[in-house]
Amino acid sequence: MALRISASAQSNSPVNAPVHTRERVHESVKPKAKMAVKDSSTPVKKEILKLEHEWAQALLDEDVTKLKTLLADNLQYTRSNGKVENKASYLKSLREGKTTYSMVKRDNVKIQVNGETAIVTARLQAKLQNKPNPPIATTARYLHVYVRKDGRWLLTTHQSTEIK
Amino acid sequence: MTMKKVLLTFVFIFSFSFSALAQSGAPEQEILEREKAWRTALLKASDELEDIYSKHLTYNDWNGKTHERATLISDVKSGNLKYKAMIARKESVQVFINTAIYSCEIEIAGNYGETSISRVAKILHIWVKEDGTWRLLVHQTQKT
Repeated sequence: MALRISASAQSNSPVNAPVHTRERVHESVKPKAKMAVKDSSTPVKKEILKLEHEWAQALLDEDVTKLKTLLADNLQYTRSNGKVENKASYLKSLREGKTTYSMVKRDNVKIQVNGETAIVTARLQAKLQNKPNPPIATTARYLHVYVRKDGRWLLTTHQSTEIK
Repeated sequence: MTMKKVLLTFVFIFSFSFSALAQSGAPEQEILEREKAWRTALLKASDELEDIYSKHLTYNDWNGKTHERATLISDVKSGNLKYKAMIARKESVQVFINTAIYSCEIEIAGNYGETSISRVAKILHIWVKEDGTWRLLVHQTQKT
């Protein structure tokens, strides 16, 4: 079984917003998500946008191996319910299929690069399921901090706050 | 060297290092001081906020709403947003050269207009060094 990924862009945001949706299909071809970029003033911003895109798609793909490469070993992942996880516990919940995503959409993406760190703030709309709870649709503001280590940008901090 | 001498040497080195860290303006200590200054500025509604908030501030509140820097400052100065208590606990600081990540649990009491505020929340702050001064670039609050 393959995953179908589709993406579209929002034109009225600082950075065009990718919308990732997933439906399970019996095909061997997995279309790639697209992301048009407005705010690519520096190569670093472009690189960070790419990593953000990969993060969103890895969530949909339940691609734990990919996520592992994106996350810093000292990751602090704070969910919108206030639960704080480290890299191991966060990946475990995805690996065990406890948390699954069927849609991830981001807009109002803002990236600020400051030397060896990059800060991303954005609005996130997602459809997800934290089993055994039923699927939910949520909208949140999230903050990502990337730190460059040995030439690679790694996600070291995630915090999201639900928009009420 | 006797055990007593070894212990005395250890105590001396430890005390000296700790004192040096506290007095030399280690980045972590600087951030803790700036956090304290931020809380004091809010409690006293002082002009210091202008210096603390970066011109590029992103401020996401408890409800996930974003606020403009100018509005935040004018709300505090006008008394529309009035803090009576801000107590930080479980503070943590990570510094990456000219960026710092600070998190804590904060107990807040105050008023926003006619609405009373009383809660314990988690805050995450990103500080960046601008022209040699640590300034708050991102503030995000969420429930504990």
